[in-house]
This record gives sequence, C-alpha cells and structure tokens, in this order.
Amino acid sequence: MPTPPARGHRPRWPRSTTARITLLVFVAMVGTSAIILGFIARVTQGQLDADARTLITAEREAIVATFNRNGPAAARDVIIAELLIPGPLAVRLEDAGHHGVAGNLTAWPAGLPRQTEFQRIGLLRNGHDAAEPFAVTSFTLANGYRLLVGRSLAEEERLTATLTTSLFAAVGLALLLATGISFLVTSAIARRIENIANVAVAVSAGDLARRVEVQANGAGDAFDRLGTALNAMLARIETLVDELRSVTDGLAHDLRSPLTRLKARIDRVQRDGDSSGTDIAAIGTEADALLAMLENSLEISRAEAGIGRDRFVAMDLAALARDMVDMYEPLADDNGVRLTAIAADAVPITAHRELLGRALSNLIDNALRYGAAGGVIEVAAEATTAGARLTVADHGPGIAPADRDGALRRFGRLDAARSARGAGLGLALAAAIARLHGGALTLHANQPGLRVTIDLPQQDQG
Amino acid sequence: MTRILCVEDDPTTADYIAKGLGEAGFAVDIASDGRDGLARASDGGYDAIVLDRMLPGMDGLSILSALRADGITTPVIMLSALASLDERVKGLHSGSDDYLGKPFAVAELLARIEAVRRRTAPAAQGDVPVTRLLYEDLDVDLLTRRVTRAGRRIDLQPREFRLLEFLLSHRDQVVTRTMLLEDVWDYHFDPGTNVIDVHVSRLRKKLDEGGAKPLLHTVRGAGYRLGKD
Repeated sequence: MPTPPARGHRPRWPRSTTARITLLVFVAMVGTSAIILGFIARVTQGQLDADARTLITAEREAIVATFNRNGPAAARDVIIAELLIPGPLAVRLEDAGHHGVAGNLTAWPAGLPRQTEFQRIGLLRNGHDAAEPFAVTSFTLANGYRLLVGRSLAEEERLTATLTTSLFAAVGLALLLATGISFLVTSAIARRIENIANVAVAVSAGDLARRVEVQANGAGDAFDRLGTALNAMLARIETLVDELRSVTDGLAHDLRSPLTRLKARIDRVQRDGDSSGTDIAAIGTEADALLAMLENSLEISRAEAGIGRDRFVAMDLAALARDMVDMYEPLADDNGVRLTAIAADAVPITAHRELLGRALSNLIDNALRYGAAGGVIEVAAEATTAGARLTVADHGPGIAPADRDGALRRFGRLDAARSARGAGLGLALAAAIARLHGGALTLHANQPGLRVTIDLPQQDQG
Repeated sequence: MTRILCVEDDPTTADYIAKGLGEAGFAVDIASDGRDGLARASDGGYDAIVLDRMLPGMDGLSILSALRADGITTPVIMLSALASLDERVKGLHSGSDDYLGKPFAVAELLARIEAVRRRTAPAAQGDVPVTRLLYEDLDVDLLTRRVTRAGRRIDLQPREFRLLEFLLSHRDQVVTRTMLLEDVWDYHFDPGTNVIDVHVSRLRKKLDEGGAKPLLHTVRGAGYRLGKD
C-alpha cells in the first residue's frame, strides 16, 4: 500500500521542478547564444578580412605598376603622396640592401616573408605610439626591391569589439529575462499544482470537505478545469461517504432494537420453553423484518451506485400503474380505501420495470399505511414535456414541509421513536430508484394529504 | 422415490436442505463443491437439482451451462445469496428453472421443487393445447374464461382468473406467495404486506360461496394449495 508522502518532504517536489525547468531553459539559452555568437563572429571576421585584403591588394598593384613602368623613384613619389593624408595605410619600399626608399615603417618586420598574399601582423608605424594590428601583403620587385603594403585593422577590431560586447549584453539580458520568466511561470504552475496536491493530501488525511480554489469567473484555463472537475469528484465522494455513514449509523440503530428483542425472545424460549409456539413465530417475524430491512438497504445502495441501468427496457408506465393498483386494490378495499388508477393512455418510457414497480408499490404501501384516513388514493401515470410522471396522492394527514427532507432520508421516519415495523426505507428506496433513472422524487402538499411524484426524464435509447 | 441432488458448499445450509427435503420424503444427495456436483449431476438419475450459485471449484452458472450443453434437462433450482431484483431476474434468464434467494424457507424450496418437477413432466403427455381445466366440481374454460362450480356461474376479475388458472395448473401442490407474484403478476419483488393474501382470500370467497366444500387451502408458513384437504 502506498504511504502518503511525509509533510516535510512534500514542498520540495514543486520547488525542484521549478529549479529544474529554470536550469533547463538557462542551459538551452546559453547553448543557443554560444552557437549564434560563434557564427556571427566567424562571418564578421571573414567579411572584414576579405575587405582588408581587397584594399591592400589594390594598393600594392598600383605601386607595383608604377614601379614597373616608371622605376623606383616614381613609386616612391606615389607612396609619399598616399601617405600625405593620415589613414590606415602602412607602406615600406626598400632596396636590395634593405634601405628604406619610402614608407612609414622604419624596418622590414621580422619574420615577414619577402612575398606573401595576406598576413596578420602587429606593426608600429612612424609617428604612432603603439603597435597596431595590420593586414599585410608583400611583394618582391625587380632589382631586389621589395614592397610591403598594410592596412590597419584597429578600426575594424574596435567595431568587432563593440559588436561583441553588445551581442553579449543582449544575450545576457535575454538569458536573464528567459530565466526569470521561466522561473516565474514554472513556480506559478508549480504553485497551482501544489495547491491541488495539498487538497489531495488533505482529503486522503480525512478532510473530505477540502476543495481546490478555483477562480470565481473561472471557466478559464486547464488548471481551473482540473480544479472544477476535482471538486465535483470530491463533492460526489463526500456525498457517497456521508450516505454510507448514514446508512451504517441508521442500520446499526435500526438493527439494534429488533435484534435486542430477538435475543430477549430467544433467551425466554431457552429458559421457559415455548409450548404455544408464539415466541418462535415472533422470532421468525422479527428475523423476516430484519432481512427485509437489509435487503431494502442493499437495494438502495445498488440503485445509488447506478447498478441496473443495463436492464432498462421499453415499457408502458401506465400499464405499470394499472398493475400496481390492481395488485393493491383488494388490500385497499379491505382497509376502506378507494384506490384508483388514472392511467388510461399509454405512457411509453425506457426504464427498469421491476425497480419502478417496486418504487410505486412502496409509495402505494406508504399511502395505505399513513394516508388511509383520507379514504381515496389516486395513482396516476402521465406523459410530460420532459418525460413521464408517476403520482401517488392521498388525502391523509400529509407531511409538514419542514419534515419532507427527513422523510426522504434513509431510516428517516416521521415518528422520532422508530418502531420495528417499516424501517422508513420505502420512500428512500423509491427516491433512489427515481435517481437511478435520472429522475427525481418530490413530496407535495395535496391539500389535504400528500402527493408524491416521480418525474422521469426521457431516456436516451441504447 | 424422488431423488434430489443438492450442490451446496455451506454444511449448515446443506444440512438444512437435506433435513427439510428428507422430511418431505425426498432422497437427498449432497455435493459440496462444483466439480463433484457436476460429476454427479452428469450421471443423471436425479429428479431435480438444487444448485448454489457461488461454489468453490466451479460456480453454479458454469455447472448449469455445462449440464445443458451435455443435453441433461434435469430441472435446476438456483440458490443464491445474491438476492437483489436484478440478480434474481438474471438467474432466471441464465437457464435455470427457478431461482431462490438466500435465506429461504424450506416450504418455499419444496413448493418450487414440486413446481419445476411437474412443469417438466407433463410436457411429454401430448401436444394438444389445454383449453379446459376440470377439478372436482370446478370447470374452467380457458377460451371463454367461463368459470362454473357445480353448475353455478362464478364471475371473476381477469387477475382472479389468472390466479385460479395458476392454482389449478399446480393443483395439489403448495404454491407460495412469491411464486404467485412471479407468475400471475410477473414481478419479482416482495410487496411485503399481505397484498397477495387478500387476492387469494377474495378468490376463495367467490369459489366457496354457497357453502361448497373448500377447495383453496392456506398452508401455514408456506402458501396455498388448491386441492383436497
């Protein structure tokens, strides 16, 4: 058997769910951002490099063309002209003896090959305080001359740095937001689940009256629907448990007195013998009453549990009313009561014939028992707009409105001190049978007397 | 001698049945579980079988369907603690000849055994439909619904006629109140009060009017019997 979770253990579950989901969102965000950032960095770098390369290659081509056409002096003039305007360029043209001819670099950078298409390298230009990153190309010319053309990448790197910083900032902000939102959402969900779980725990601990809080206007979200459904289920369970309790209590109460009488009679027979046989006969009668009470009670429970719906058949309610009047008419006649059926027209319904017969017989029996003084009892079956109605009306003393609910309860008898006869199950069973059919039993004033109606809805076929 | 097989696992109930039926002049064999019961019942030779619905080994309904599948037509009365209305009706529809809820009176069981035995017996007699029932000086025409006793016309209500017809077809047998309720009214619940008694006494009054010899007798603690004293 599963044991209910310990109290201290319970709240950890939703919290760890919150943490887990938040962590999951965080990790997913970090992973996605890393991929996006890496991609952006690669693409940006590639594009910047390509731009620098195109520029320095064009510069180099121009100088080389001038050198080849007009000689070193012309090339030197071009270079000087280029460097007149401050810019990102770094140039060095030197002869075979490594003497600088033109340019803004004091020496050929160590390790740079005589001829290369593209290379990144740090350079200190004349007139600058610090080395800068450069994209560099070098070329060997005629007569041992060689040329270096470079373009500072400082501007681009600053741009990249700004871009990277803002990207990281944006991603960081997004991460923070996502984590926060996922935390809020998850903990809100967890709170509502916890709320439901708490109710379940309280109910299992015995507090059947606990209900899930549902927003007042709430046909809202899935949680409200879950809560509403759960509450309906709990209400049904509570009703059933209450009913079971009242049956058990009632049975215990009602069985006690006849059983005590039974035991007293048995003791007497044991002591004195039973020459006339009256005690044994009385014991038999008591036992029969007890069995009838038990059977009625079980039949009510079965009806309440919905057992018997599979045995519904198409039948005529009017014929049933006539049958029962026919069955009780001689008995009523003997008691000086005129029992009449008002059920000439057929009333086709789908119902449990035996159980409805039993319900009607209980009602007629009650009317004879308590309403015989009125002299006339009418039993009617009629079709209504909603379905069909059975009525048993007497002209006896009736039941005061305040007492009607009590009369419908199991074991609810109007005389407070219950006698052995008729354990007050008749009306309760009839009401249970009405409910089994989706209908209702109602008590009305008949002025004078009592009018009991059983309203049956039209059953869906099949 | 009439032989009855009683398949019942509860020794107290089995004793109760054996003793009650024994006193009524039946020879009773007891089988205390389902398999034994089926084996004995299959050997045949019994006039009726009293079968408990819930048994160890094999339940009553399975035994019943096994017997019927083997072509054994011995009448079966099913006993059951499942005595709710639904169960009673279900039991009757399952192929048993009668169904009796526990607890029951031996008188009721006896009456029902008699009834199922006779119900199966005269089927062999012939296939001419019975249109007239005669008993002593009572003459009942089933077609015209005319009833006379010693030439005196008796007016009966339709329900009284059905009651008389049932009692006549079970003449010299005890019929219980519940049997009447089930056959004449076709309801299986017990209306409890003396509803049926009043019907019977009305019929009796009409039959015996004019100081004729009583035909319809009350059997104490059991029911009624139409026949000789």
